[in-house]
Amino acid sequence: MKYAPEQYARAFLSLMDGHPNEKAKITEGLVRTLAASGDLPRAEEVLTAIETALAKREGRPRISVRSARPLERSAIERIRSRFGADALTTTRVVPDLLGGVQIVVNEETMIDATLKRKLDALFGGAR
Amino acid sequence: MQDLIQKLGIQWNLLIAQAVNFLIVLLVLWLTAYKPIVRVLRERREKIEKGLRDADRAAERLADADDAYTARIREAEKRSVSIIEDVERRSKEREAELAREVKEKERKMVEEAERKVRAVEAEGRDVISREAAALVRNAVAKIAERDPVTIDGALIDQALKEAGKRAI
Repeated sequence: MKYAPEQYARAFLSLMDGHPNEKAKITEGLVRTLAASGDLPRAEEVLTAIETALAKREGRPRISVRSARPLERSAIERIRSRFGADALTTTRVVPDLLGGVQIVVNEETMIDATLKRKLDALFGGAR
Repeated sequence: MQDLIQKLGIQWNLLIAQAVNFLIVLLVLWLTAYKPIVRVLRERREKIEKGLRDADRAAERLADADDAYTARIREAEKRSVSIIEDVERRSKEREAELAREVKEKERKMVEEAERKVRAVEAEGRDVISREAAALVRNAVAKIAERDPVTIDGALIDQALKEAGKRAI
Protein backbone atom coordinates (compact mmCIF):
# COMPACT_ATOMS: atom_id res chain seq x y z
CA MET A 1 0.00 0.00 0.00
CA LYS A 2 1.47 3.31 -1.09
CA TYR A 3 -0.45 5.33 1.52
CA ALA A 4 -1.97 4.34 4.84
CA PRO A 5 -5.81 4.14 5.02
CA GLU A 6 -5.79 7.01 7.50
CA GLN A 7 -3.90 9.18 5.01
CA TYR A 8 -6.50 8.46 2.32
CA ALA A 9 -9.27 9.20 4.87
CA ARG A 10 -7.75 12.54 5.93
CA ALA A 11 -7.26 13.63 2.32
CA PHE A 12 -10.77 12.57 1.34
CA LEU A 13 -12.50 14.33 4.25
CA SER A 14 -10.41 17.44 3.74
CA LEU A 15 -11.50 17.63 0.12
CA MET A 16 -15.12 16.98 1.08
CA ASP A 17 -14.99 19.79 3.61
CA GLY A 18 -13.44 22.17 1.08
CA HIS A 19 -15.72 21.29 -1.80
CA PRO A 20 -19.09 20.18 -0.42
CA ASN A 21 -20.72 20.45 -3.85
CA GLU A 22 -18.36 18.07 -5.58
CA LYS A 23 -18.82 14.98 -3.48
CA ALA A 24 -19.31 12.72 -6.50
CA LYS A 25 -16.17 13.95 -8.22
CA ILE A 26 -14.13 13.62 -5.04
CA THR A 27 -15.37 10.07 -4.49
CA GLU A 28 -14.57 9.17 -8.10
CA GLY A 29 -11.11 10.75 -7.67
CA LEU A 30 -10.51 8.62 -4.55
CA VAL A 31 -11.35 5.43 -6.45
CA ARG A 32 -9.11 6.44 -9.34
CA THR A 33 -6.26 7.25 -6.95
CA LEU A 34 -6.67 3.89 -5.22
CA ALA A 35 -6.56 2.12 -8.59
CA ALA A 36 -3.53 4.11 -9.73
CA SER A 37 -1.69 3.36 -6.47
CA GLY A 38 -2.57 -0.35 -6.62
CA ASP A 39 -4.52 -0.01 -3.39
CA LEU A 40 -7.92 -0.92 -4.78
CA PRO A 41 -7.94 -4.38 -3.16
CA ARG A 42 -7.74 -2.60 0.20
CA ALA A 43 -10.53 -0.17 -0.48
CA GLU A 44 -12.47 -1.74 2.39
CA GLU A 45 -9.83 -0.62 4.88
CA VAL A 46 -9.84 2.88 3.42
CA LEU A 47 -13.63 3.09 3.73
CA THR A 48 -13.39 1.92 7.34
CA ALA A 49 -10.76 4.59 8.02
CA ILE A 50 -13.04 7.23 6.49
CA GLU A 51 -15.99 6.05 8.61
CA THR A 52 -13.85 6.01 11.71
CA ALA A 53 -12.54 9.49 11.06
CA LEU A 54 -16.06 10.78 10.48
CA ALA A 55 -17.36 9.13 13.68
CA LYS A 56 -14.44 10.56 15.61
CA ARG A 57 -15.09 14.02 14.26
CA GLU A 58 -18.79 13.77 15.13
CA GLY A 59 -18.15 12.33 18.59
CA ARG A 60 -19.96 9.06 17.88
CA PRO A 61 -18.82 5.86 19.56
CA ARG A 62 -16.71 3.60 17.33
CA ILE A 63 -16.97 -0.12 17.82
CA SER A 64 -14.84 -2.72 16.10
CA VAL A 65 -16.22 -6.23 16.50
CA ARG A 66 -14.11 -9.24 15.61
CA SER A 67 -15.63 -12.70 15.60
CA ALA A 68 -14.72 -16.23 14.51
CA ARG A 69 -17.61 -16.39 12.06
CA PRO A 70 -19.93 -13.77 10.51
CA LEU A 71 -22.34 -12.51 13.15
CA GLU A 72 -26.07 -12.37 12.64
CA ARG A 73 -27.52 -8.95 12.19
CA SER A 74 -29.45 -9.22 15.45
CA ALA A 75 -26.22 -9.92 17.33
CA ILE A 76 -24.53 -6.89 15.79
CA GLU A 77 -27.52 -4.73 16.66
CA ARG A 78 -27.47 -6.01 20.23
CA ILE A 79 -23.84 -4.96 20.56
CA ARG A 80 -24.37 -1.63 18.86
CA SER A 81 -27.38 -0.77 21.08
CA ARG A 82 -25.20 -1.36 24.15
CA PHE A 83 -22.79 1.36 23.05
CA GLY A 84 -25.32 3.73 21.47
CA ALA A 85 -27.70 3.57 18.54
CA ASP A 86 -25.48 5.92 16.50
CA ALA A 87 -22.33 3.93 17.19
CA LEU A 88 -20.20 3.30 14.14
CA THR A 89 -19.79 -0.45 14.01
CA THR A 90 -17.31 -2.36 11.91
CA THR A 91 -17.06 -6.15 11.87
CA ARG A 92 -14.27 -8.48 10.93
CA VAL A 93 -14.07 -12.25 10.81
CA VAL A 94 -11.01 -13.84 12.43
CA PRO A 95 -11.38 -17.65 12.49
CA ASP A 96 -8.47 -17.99 14.94
CA LEU A 97 -10.74 -16.63 17.68
CA LEU A 98 -12.69 -19.97 17.53
CA GLY A 99 -15.88 -18.43 18.93
CA GLY A 100 -17.32 -15.39 20.73
CA VAL A 101 -16.42 -11.76 20.08
CA GLN A 102 -13.65 -9.26 20.64
CA ILE A 103 -14.94 -5.70 20.93
CA VAL A 104 -12.69 -2.63 20.66
CA VAL A 105 -14.34 0.61 21.76
CA ASN A 106 -12.98 3.92 20.38
CA GLU A 107 -9.64 2.21 19.64
CA GLU A 108 -8.95 2.42 23.37
CA THR A 109 -10.67 -0.32 25.30
CA MET A 110 -10.88 -3.97 24.35
CA ILE A 111 -13.33 -6.52 25.70
CA ASP A 112 -12.18 -10.03 24.86
CA ALA A 113 -14.93 -12.65 25.20
CA THR A 114 -13.56 -15.20 22.76
CA LEU A 115 -13.27 -18.95 23.04
CA LYS A 116 -9.58 -18.66 22.21
CA ARG A 117 -8.90 -16.44 25.24
CA LYS A 118 -10.81 -18.84 27.49
CA LEU A 119 -8.82 -21.82 26.21
CA ASP A 120 -5.58 -19.85 26.59
CA ALA A 121 -6.53 -19.01 30.16
CA LEU A 122 -7.42 -22.66 30.80
CA PHE A 123 -4.18 -24.14 29.46
CA GLY A 124 -1.83 -21.20 29.74
CA GLY A 125 -0.83 -22.17 33.28
CA ALA A 126 0.17 -25.68 32.18
CA ARG A 127 2.89 -24.42 29.84
CA MET B 1 146.96 -85.83 93.83
CA GLN B 2 147.43 -89.51 94.22
CA ASP B 3 147.22 -88.98 97.94
CA LEU B 4 144.10 -87.07 97.71
CA ILE B 5 142.49 -89.77 95.58
CA GLN B 6 143.53 -92.38 98.08
CA LYS B 7 142.29 -90.32 100.98
CA LEU B 8 138.91 -89.94 99.26
CA GLY B 9 138.80 -93.72 98.74
CA ILE B 10 138.30 -93.44 94.99
CA GLN B 11 139.00 -96.58 93.10
CA TRP B 12 139.47 -96.07 89.40
CA ASN B 13 137.96 -99.31 88.33
CA LEU B 14 134.99 -98.80 90.52
CA LEU B 15 134.66 -95.23 89.31
CA ILE B 16 134.81 -96.36 85.74
CA ALA B 17 132.29 -99.06 86.41
CA GLN B 18 130.03 -96.59 88.10
CA ALA B 19 130.54 -94.19 85.22
CA VAL B 20 129.66 -96.92 82.80
CA ASN B 21 126.62 -97.75 84.88
CA PHE B 22 125.70 -94.12 84.98
CA LEU B 23 126.02 -93.83 81.27
CA ILE B 24 123.92 -96.95 80.81
CA VAL B 25 121.30 -95.60 83.16
CA LEU B 26 121.50 -92.25 81.41
CA LEU B 27 121.06 -93.94 78.09
CA VAL B 28 118.15 -95.98 79.36
CA LEU B 29 116.57 -92.91 80.89
CA TRP B 30 117.23 -90.93 77.73
CA LEU B 31 115.52 -93.54 75.72
CA THR B 32 112.67 -94.44 78.04
CA ALA B 33 111.88 -91.22 79.90
CA TYR B 34 113.43 -88.11 78.41
CA LYS B 35 112.47 -88.65 74.83
CA PRO B 36 108.79 -89.58 75.56
CA ILE B 37 108.55 -86.70 77.99
CA VAL B 38 110.03 -84.31 75.45
CA ARG B 39 107.74 -85.72 72.81
CA VAL B 40 104.74 -85.37 75.08
CA LEU B 41 105.80 -81.84 75.92
CA ARG B 42 106.28 -81.01 72.27
CA GLU B 43 102.94 -82.48 71.43
CA ARG B 44 101.28 -80.53 74.23
CA ARG B 45 102.97 -77.34 73.08
CA GLU B 46 101.86 -77.99 69.58
CA LYS B 47 98.35 -78.67 70.81
CA ILE B 48 98.39 -75.50 72.84
CA GLU B 49 99.77 -73.53 69.90
CA LYS B 50 97.11 -75.10 67.68
CA GLY B 51 94.51 -74.25 70.28
CA LEU B 52 95.73 -70.69 70.38
CA ARG B 53 95.74 -70.49 66.63
CA ASP B 54 92.29 -71.98 66.56
CA ALA B 55 91.19 -69.52 69.19
CA ASP B 56 92.64 -66.67 67.12
CA ARG B 57 90.92 -67.99 64.04
CA ALA B 58 87.73 -68.44 66.04
CA ALA B 59 88.04 -64.87 67.29
CA GLU B 60 88.62 -63.69 63.75
CA ARG B 61 85.69 -65.71 62.58
CA LEU B 62 83.64 -64.34 65.40
CA ALA B 63 84.62 -60.85 64.42
CA ASP B 64 83.80 -61.66 60.83
CA ALA B 65 80.53 -63.12 62.01
CA ASP B 66 79.85 -59.96 64.00
CA ASP B 67 80.58 -57.86 60.93
CA ALA B 68 78.40 -60.11 58.82
CA TYR B 69 75.72 -59.99 61.47
CA THR B 70 75.92 -56.21 61.64
CA ALA B 71 75.86 -56.00 57.86
CA ARG B 72 72.90 -58.34 57.71
CA ILE B 73 71.14 -56.37 60.40
CA ARG B 74 71.76 -53.18 58.42
CA GLU B 75 70.57 -54.90 55.26
CA ALA B 76 67.52 -56.19 57.11
CA GLU B 77 66.84 -52.70 58.43
CA LYS B 78 67.17 -51.27 54.94
CA ARG B 79 64.90 -53.95 53.58
CA SER B 80 62.38 -53.42 56.35
CA VAL B 81 62.39 -49.66 55.70
CA SER B 82 62.04 -50.35 52.01
CA ILE B 83 59.22 -52.80 52.68
CA ILE B 84 57.47 -50.30 54.96
CA GLU B 85 57.88 -47.56 52.36
CA ASP B 86 56.62 -49.90 49.68
CA VAL B 87 53.65 -50.87 51.84
CA GLU B 88 52.93 -47.20 52.56
CA ARG B 89 53.19 -46.35 48.87
CA ARG B 90 50.94 -49.25 47.93
CA SER B 91 48.47 -48.39 50.65
CA LYS B 92 48.37 -44.79 49.41
CA GLU B 93 47.89 -46.00 45.84
CA ARG B 94 45.17 -48.37 47.01
CA GLU B 95 43.57 -45.58 49.01
CA ALA B 96 43.61 -43.32 45.96
CA GLU B 97 42.24 -46.15 43.84
CA LEU B 98 39.48 -46.79 46.39
CA ALA B 99 38.71 -43.08 46.48
CA ARG B 100 38.48 -43.08 42.68
CA GLU B 101 36.26 -46.15 42.74
CA VAL B 102 34.04 -44.59 45.41
CA LYS B 103 33.84 -41.38 43.38
CA GLU B 104 33.04 -43.31 40.22
CA LYS B 105 30.36 -45.31 42.04
CA GLU B 106 29.00 -42.09 43.48
CA ARG B 107 28.91 -40.50 40.01
CA LYS B 108 27.16 -43.56 38.56
CA MET B 109 24.64 -43.56 41.41
CA VAL B 110 23.94 -39.86 40.88
CA GLU B 111 23.59 -40.42 37.13
CA GLU B 112 21.27 -43.35 37.75
CA ALA B 113 19.21 -41.30 40.20
CA GLU B 114 19.04 -38.41 37.74
CA ARG B 115 18.05 -40.79 34.97
CA LYS B 116 15.29 -42.23 37.16
CA VAL B 117 14.13 -38.73 38.09
CA ARG B 118 14.05 -37.77 34.41
CA ALA B 119 12.16 -40.97 33.61
CA VAL B 120 9.66 -40.24 36.38
CA GLU B 121 9.34 -36.64 35.17
CA ALA B 122 8.84 -37.80 31.60
CA GLU B 123 6.27 -40.31 32.77
CA GLY B 124 4.57 -37.56 34.78
CA ARG B 125 4.57 -35.29 31.76
CA ASP B 126 3.09 -38.07 29.65
CA VAL B 127 0.37 -38.62 32.22
CA ILE B 128 -0.35 -34.89 32.40
CA SER B 129 -0.33 -34.64 28.62
CA ARG B 130 -2.73 -37.57 28.34
CA GLU B 131 -4.99 -36.03 30.98
CA ALA B 132 -4.80 -32.62 29.30
CA ALA B 133 -5.57 -34.19 25.93
CA ALA B 134 -8.55 -35.99 27.48
CA LEU B 135 -9.68 -32.73 29.06
CA VAL B 136 -9.41 -30.91 25.75
CA ARG B 137 -11.21 -33.75 23.96
CA ASN B 138 -14.05 -33.55 26.48
CA ALA B 139 -14.19 -29.75 26.28
CA VAL B 140 -14.13 -29.77 22.48
CA ALA B 141 -16.76 -32.53 22.42
CA LYS B 142 -19.00 -30.48 24.69
CA ILE B 143 -18.47 -27.35 22.59
CA ALA B 144 -19.05 -29.29 19.39
CA GLU B 145 -22.37 -30.50 20.77
CA ARG B 146 -23.53 -26.90 21.15
CA ASP B 147 -24.73 -24.63 18.37
CA PRO B 148 -22.02 -22.11 17.37
CA VAL B 149 -24.57 -19.33 17.29
CA THR B 150 -25.60 -20.21 20.85
CA ILE B 151 -21.95 -20.14 21.93
CA ASP B 152 -21.41 -16.79 20.23
CA GLY B 153 -24.60 -15.48 21.84
CA ALA B 154 -23.46 -16.55 25.29
CA LEU B 155 -20.05 -15.00 24.79
CA ILE B 156 -21.60 -11.75 23.47
CA ASP B 157 -23.68 -11.63 26.66
CA GLN B 158 -20.49 -12.01 28.68
CA ALA B 159 -18.81 -9.23 26.66
CA LEU B 160 -21.73 -6.88 27.22
CA LYS B 161 -21.80 -7.69 30.95
CA GLU B 162 -18.08 -6.96 31.17
CA ALA B 163 -18.65 -3.64 29.36
CA GLY B 164 -21.27 -2.84 31.96
CA LYS B 165 -18.92 -3.71 34.82
CA ARG B 166 -16.18 -1.56 33.33
CA ALA B 167 -18.71 1.26 32.73
CA ILE B 168 -17.81 1.55 29.07
